[in-house]
Amino acid sequence: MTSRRSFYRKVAYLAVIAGLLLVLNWLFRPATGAPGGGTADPGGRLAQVRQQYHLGQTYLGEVDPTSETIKLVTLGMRGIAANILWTKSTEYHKKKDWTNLAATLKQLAKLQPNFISVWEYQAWNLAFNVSVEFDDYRQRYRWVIKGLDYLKEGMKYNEREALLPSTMGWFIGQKIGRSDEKKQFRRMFKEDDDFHGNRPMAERDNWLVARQWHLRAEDLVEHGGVMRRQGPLLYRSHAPMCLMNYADNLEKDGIFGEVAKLAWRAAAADWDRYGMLEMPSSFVKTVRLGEKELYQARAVKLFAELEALAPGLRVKLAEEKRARLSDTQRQVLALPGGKLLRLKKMGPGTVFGEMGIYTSAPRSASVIATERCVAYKLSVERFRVIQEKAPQLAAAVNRFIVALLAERVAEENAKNRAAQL
Amino acid sequence: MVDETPLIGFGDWIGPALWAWLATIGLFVVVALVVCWITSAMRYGPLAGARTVIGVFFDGLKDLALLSPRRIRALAWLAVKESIRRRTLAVFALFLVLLLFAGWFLDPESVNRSRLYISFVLTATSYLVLLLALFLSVLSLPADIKNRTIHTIMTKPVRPAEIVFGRILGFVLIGTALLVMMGAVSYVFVRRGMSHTHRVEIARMQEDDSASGGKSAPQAWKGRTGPAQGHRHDVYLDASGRARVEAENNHWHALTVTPELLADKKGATETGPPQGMLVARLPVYGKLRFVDRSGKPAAKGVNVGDEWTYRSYVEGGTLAAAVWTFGNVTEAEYPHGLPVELNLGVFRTHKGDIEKGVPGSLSVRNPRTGLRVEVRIFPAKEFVTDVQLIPRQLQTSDGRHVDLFGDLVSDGQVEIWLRCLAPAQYFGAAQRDVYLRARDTSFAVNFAKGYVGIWLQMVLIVGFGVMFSTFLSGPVAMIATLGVLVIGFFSGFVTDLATGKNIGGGPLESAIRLVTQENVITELEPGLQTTAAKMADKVFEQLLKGVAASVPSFSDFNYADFVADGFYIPRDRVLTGLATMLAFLLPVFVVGYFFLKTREVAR
Repeated sequence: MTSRRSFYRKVAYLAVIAGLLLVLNWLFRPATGAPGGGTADPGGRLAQVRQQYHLGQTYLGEVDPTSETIKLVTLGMRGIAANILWTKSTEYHKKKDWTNLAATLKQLAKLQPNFISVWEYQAWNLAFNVSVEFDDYRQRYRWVIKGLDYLKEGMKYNEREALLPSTMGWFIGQKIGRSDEKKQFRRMFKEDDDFHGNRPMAERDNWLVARQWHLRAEDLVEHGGVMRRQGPLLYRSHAPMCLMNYADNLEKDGIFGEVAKLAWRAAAADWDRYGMLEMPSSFVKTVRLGEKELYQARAVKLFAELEALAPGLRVKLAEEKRARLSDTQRQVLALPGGKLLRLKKMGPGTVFGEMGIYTSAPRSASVIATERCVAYKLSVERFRVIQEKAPQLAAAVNRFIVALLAERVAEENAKNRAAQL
Repeated sequence: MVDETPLIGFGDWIGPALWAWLATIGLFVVVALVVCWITSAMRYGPLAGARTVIGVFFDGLKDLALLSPRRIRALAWLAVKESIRRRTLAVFALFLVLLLFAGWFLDPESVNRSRLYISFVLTATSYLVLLLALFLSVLSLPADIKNRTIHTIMTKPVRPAEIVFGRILGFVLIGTALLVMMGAVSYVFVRRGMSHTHRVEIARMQEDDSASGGKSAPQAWKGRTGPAQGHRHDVYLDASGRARVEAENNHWHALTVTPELLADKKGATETGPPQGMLVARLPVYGKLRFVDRSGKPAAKGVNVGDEWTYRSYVEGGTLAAAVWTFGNVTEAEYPHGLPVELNLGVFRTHKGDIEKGVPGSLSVRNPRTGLRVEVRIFPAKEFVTDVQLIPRQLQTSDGRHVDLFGDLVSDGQVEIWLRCLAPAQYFGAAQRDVYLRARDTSFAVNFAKGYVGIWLQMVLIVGFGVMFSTFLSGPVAMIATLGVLVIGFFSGFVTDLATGKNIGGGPLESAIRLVTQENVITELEPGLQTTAAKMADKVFEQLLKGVAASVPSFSDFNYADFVADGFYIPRDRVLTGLATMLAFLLPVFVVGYFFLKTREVAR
């Protein structure tokens, strides 16, 4: 009896296991490729979702056994481990322990190889923040290169992220070409065989190399890559700007004549190319920056068409609106350029226009209330009455006004002095 | 090398430390006796209880006094055999596997490769050995008690003290053997990891104009070596075939160029193995004081805004200086002059001349007579150890010749003044930034001393493990020992927590902050809840203070930084470590003994 029962129990277990295996298979079965290159089996549900949203590790970039090992070893505590490493890296940075900082950053990246911001931020940290901690420009250069190498490493794992090559181009351009040490950096960069490999000497200018990286980023986007945060208006402008900077730097290096002219011409051509690219715009669907004249001509034509529909209507509408304005508004409109120049902003308890009482001249500035307020007026006539009937009160008002004017003069003097400094 | 702990000699440390230890132990014994008396008084009545406690106490003293080395040896051997039977040595295999794959994780292009490798092997060894010590020590006694195999020993004429001591000794022996093996393999691993040579192509070297001076001067060449381990060196070569390989990544290479190679300037050669990478400098530190910009003594230099206040800065182009006073400077010790090594911080407030280092001056002053002689003016190098030799014969600014030991050293004391010469630029200095490099000791010995640090930690863990296993079951004892290990590793944090220095408060306060998403520095809203939480945290702090005091700080036994940075591990440091270890081990052993003695099985 008991043996039969235990037999049934075992059968039930087996059935449950088989059922679970089926579910597992439905969920987790990996996709397999057909010999021809297509997929023979789309795989389980998860594999399909991964395929659909491009989340597969192999889709993102190179799969590194070390990185995978580290990820597995943390047993799901990857976030905590990354946090600890990040804290450690700030600590090492603070204590100027560069060996350990570099080592920690490598580990950090291995732990989260597809977290783009980590690559971007830490590469910037190395190339910009750590490098300047060194006094010797040669060491600084080496840390800039370390930052670049870090980015390159990141690109291996994230082949479809256009932000990384774009950042690379930005660093090579701006850090090497614009920092305090640009003279030394540009020279060292040209001589750096380890970085360039067999790139010919003529192409080793940092702006030209930077341009290559920017073009690579553009190319990536065109072939299905993603560009984070930057719109095409921005990231597509980098490559032509590099050519301009290149030409500019040629002249700064003392190379003029035909060479510089050619460089400028190339830059102009590339800028024109940028102008002919279709950019998404918030007005119409797409615009070409280079076709400004075309758009302007079209606007003029459309304007004329509009005028032709109802001649004189536009002028009439404008005049009607002008008629509805207050005096002050009209005065402001009559100012040169029709613009207000704010001289001073005053708060509650202020006195203004006091000079007019004494000089009887037109006021030197207008006062416009920006919000509802209560104002008390003292006319010249009323002031004369006070002077006759209560001279003490008038004297007090005078004293007050003199103190106020003195204060304003002092303020002006201080401003003048500051302006002279 | 950056070391933020104060320099205290063993002689100065041991006196106060010993008194503090004796006082703590005395207090502990009194408290333990009172607690024992109360427990037994509840069971047998006050008088009988007192009698029992006193009886056990004196029995214990007798037991401890009459330990037999022969029996201990036998019991220790038993523990060793048991450990081997439990395949402890597999840990060694694990270590080998770890080393095999270590190359994957260690940055091959690190600027300080030796540091990386040495830290890695020392850390890996200490984790493995400590875990092993933990498992071995906590599981053995409870298993014996459970299987009743303990009775086969208990029925023999052995004292419980000998059982505890024998176990500790046995496990320590096993751990030591493992450490020795791991140390030997690590040494080879580090040596091999450092070894590399560079290829030097003589044909690609260019004439060095800066060195040759005039046309008549002999020719000289300069060039770069081929790459290896992510770096290259500058090479200088003169007509006589003398070659100099510039230091890079903390090492240099020897290079010999044969006359044939030099003659036709073709072909290539290989440099020698790296030098200066694996060293153990013996530094002699001085006492640091500062002089401010107007020449008056100052407690500290200028803070240039670094969050890390290890270095204090002196302003350039003023009278400000950092002054190190060295003692025991004798002719016999330094026959060739004073070898000074500098590690400076440089802080520029303006760009200055980028191509050149900020100029500094190094001078020597007699602390008694005040005679000061400038030794040399040098461009500062940051994050590089700059080696300067102060020669025996020096010349003052007015042309007089002075002798280093005759005129500048008085009573074995001499001052070394460091000044920055460029206005508005700054030099940063810490006490250990300037030292006399008396001589180099053997790297292998220093490496071994690094392992002594791990050994001390292992002995402590074994002690705690065996002690806990005398009265707790295996898993519980393991958790307890693990607790000791964790608290010991984070003792700095625990001390901060116990003294209320930790930002964000104690456990309850932090919990409130976590839940209410309050940041760590804003004051909590006053009220009953906050007061209650703070009071509970105060109680916790007191508890933690007790725990922090009874658990050794494991970072005190960590000498990895010394070995990795190439500094001799001071003897005082090792002696202090040894004394600390014994100071903890002794009470731990005694407590373990009493627990085993009072347990049912032991009777």
